[in-house]
Amino acid sequence: MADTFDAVQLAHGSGGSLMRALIEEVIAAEFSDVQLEDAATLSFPEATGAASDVRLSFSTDTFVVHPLFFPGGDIGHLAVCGTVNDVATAGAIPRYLSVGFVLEEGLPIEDLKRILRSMCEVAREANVALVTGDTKVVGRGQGDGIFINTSGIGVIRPGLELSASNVQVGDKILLSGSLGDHGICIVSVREGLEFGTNITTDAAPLSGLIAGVLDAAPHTRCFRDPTRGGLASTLNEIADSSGVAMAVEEDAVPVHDQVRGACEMLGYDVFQVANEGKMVAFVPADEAEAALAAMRADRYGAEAAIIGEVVEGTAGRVALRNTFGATRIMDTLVGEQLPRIC
Amino acid sequence: MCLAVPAHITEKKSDQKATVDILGLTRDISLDLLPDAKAGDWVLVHAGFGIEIVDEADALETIELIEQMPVGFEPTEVPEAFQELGYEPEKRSDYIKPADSGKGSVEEVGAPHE
Amino acid sequence: MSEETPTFDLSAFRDPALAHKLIERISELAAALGETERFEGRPIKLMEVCGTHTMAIAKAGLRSVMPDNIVLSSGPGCPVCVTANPDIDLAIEVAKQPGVILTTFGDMIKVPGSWTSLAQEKARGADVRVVYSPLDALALAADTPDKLVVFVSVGFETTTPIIAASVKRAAAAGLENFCILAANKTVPEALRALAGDPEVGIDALILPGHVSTIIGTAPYEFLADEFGVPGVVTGFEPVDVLLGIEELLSSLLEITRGGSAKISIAYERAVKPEGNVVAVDLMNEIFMPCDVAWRGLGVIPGTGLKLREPYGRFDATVRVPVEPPESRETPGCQCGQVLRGIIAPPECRLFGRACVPEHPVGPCMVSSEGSCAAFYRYRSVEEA
Repeated sequence: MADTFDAVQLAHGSGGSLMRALIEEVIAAEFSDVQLEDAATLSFPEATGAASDVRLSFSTDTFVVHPLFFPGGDIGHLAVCGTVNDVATAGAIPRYLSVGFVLEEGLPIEDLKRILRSMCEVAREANVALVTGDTKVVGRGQGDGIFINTSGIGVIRPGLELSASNVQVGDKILLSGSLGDHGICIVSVREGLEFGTNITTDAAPLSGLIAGVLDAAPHTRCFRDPTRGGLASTLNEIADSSGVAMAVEEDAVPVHDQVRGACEMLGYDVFQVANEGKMVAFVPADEAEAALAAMRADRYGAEAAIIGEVVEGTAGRVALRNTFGATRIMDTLVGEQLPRIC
Repeated sequence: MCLAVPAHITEKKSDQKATVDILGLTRDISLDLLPDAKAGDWVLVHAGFGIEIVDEADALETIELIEQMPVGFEPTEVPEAFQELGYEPEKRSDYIKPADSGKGSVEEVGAPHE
Repeated sequence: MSEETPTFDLSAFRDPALAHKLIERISELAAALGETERFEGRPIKLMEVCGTHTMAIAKAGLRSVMPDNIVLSSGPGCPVCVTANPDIDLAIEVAKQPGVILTTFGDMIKVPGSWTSLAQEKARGADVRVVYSPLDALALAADTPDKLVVFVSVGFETTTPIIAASVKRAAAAGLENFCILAANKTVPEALRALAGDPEVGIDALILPGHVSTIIGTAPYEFLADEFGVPGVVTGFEPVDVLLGIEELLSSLLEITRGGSAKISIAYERAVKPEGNVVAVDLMNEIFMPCDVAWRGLGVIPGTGLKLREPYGRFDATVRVPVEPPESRETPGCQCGQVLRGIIAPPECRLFGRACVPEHPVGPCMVSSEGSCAAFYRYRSVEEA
């Protein structure tokens, strides 16, 4: 699939099936050790004593968002939250982050300082230390102002085996809050599509929320944050990994009015819009209520809801039941969503 | 070919431009095709232009027409298509409804933020 | 639903109770029709000719609640899908010219022409930008006086007046670095080709909602008068679509009892019988009819639109003379038959195999409201 193109396209970066194809067929085909979850689980059998049982969660993410500053956040804030969340999805408390900057010639130092302060603020909130990094500069026109890579590491709770392959029939699907806020926020400030809105990015560090859920529901199967590609891509990936089918109740999914309005105006599917401060959790049915309560107790989970469950059926199929009782398949984003007239 | 969204005109400006509100979102559109539209009207917006004024009285009449159709139906049945998937919710209240139920009415028209 | 407050609440058109009522009515009507001589033992074929209807039906899963003897068929309602390869190839060639910024609605960017697509050419360095409105292209032209901004103008009558208004604004502002590739088409005469084709076999037409907002209902009268095919102008919310189908079936039942076919409006809140006269006048002021080739339907005389003489300088083919490459019909592609409703998307040899949204062969799979894409993305649990 990815090899029908001879050049990388923008759509390859949008988090949908094209991106997945690029990763699986081109990149992972060469890197045989890579673990395809959001974070890699590392162990060190060569360590001695108690350390030989320690497992680390290790993740990296690169941020290329444009514009650099948007309502409620900026690329720095995103860069810290994104990796904190990826490390946390493995059931680890993130402790240390590295930061790599690629700065474009001409980037105002004031902008850089704003971004750095923003990173410090959210790192403080998430209780992570930015301990090492690297800086490079490229010529004018060769970078979008700034690209940021962060890598993060944390210790996984002993005995925890979270994995996207662990999901079972009967598990409930929980979503920590409203969909689409980040993606629509970005679109609202993008050239040509500007519209006035109160929507701010939802980017947030969720390690606390995840820890709370694990305390209340220790048999949680896995977590995943629905970033690029939206909820649809996330659910489809997990359905494929675990070989299960899923059923989602459309009415149970929280969506703010303005996000809905923007999706209608542009012709976007809200299930495919990016989120940066939301978490999906798969929890055994008998622990679902407790998990939900734990999410709602967290400052970033006030609108959490149980949106569906894992069911018998064709592996990899995610079905969406709408208000009328009709069902359709919730499909993975293919390329990127673009404003349309049809 | 026909993607258009209903929007509420909050302000008519010069040069046939207007500010509209779509579920709380605001945007400027052109009224070149609707020179008689005014603030307070609801219009259909397609590709940045209003194409028609939406008539509330007609909307209500259409709803009434359907409401008066003489049939009875049990809306809580789970359709076969879904049963085949093996999905049987114990009760719909199992699934907590979100705070915003996404209804079409605009509750507040906030000032647009930059 | 809304109670005392007079807020304009359109959520009623998504109300499940109303939808279920209409579904029940539709079942009763379909059963009654199935007992008539005309429809005994055969399906009743309703065709929609608006891509947004294709999407609305697929998204709401309406096919899964239709009675067995009703077939909802998709016709050539997606202006992107009916754009023939030579027109797409021309846009791509123009995009590759130095000094050109090609602007387009998002719908067009992934559509494959004979050899490549705008998205692929963008990856290779062409300056191609997606806009939400042609006004954005005008603004871009004003901001970049040293470039020629070309707007790929596609769409039916919902969109054409908007392009016309934009061209008129460009003229008034003296914006000389703005021009359009005119590929707009008109719907009614294309319906004549479909209604008269026994292979297509339409019993009734779900008429486009917003095209009709502009042109009204008069242009469709010939369907009832000359072909005995009833048509109902239908909206896009699930309740709107179901109401349109209900009215069509009622109409057909009347016809079997000796009544005559007629054109009516189920989408009254947005469509007047006379349409939007200002929009039609503007369209006619800037554009005039010409002949054009539709993918799958061949040349339909008078359904194309070209700029009238006073606006000739806004024609991109005059401003950017290029030789388009040899165009060809993509081998194996059955979009033409899908567009005429002769086969349903899953009956195409390539559907779901060589032709999927990730690597589409023809436009029906690319455009998010092309029949094949809608079928594929929103396929019901049973069909998948």
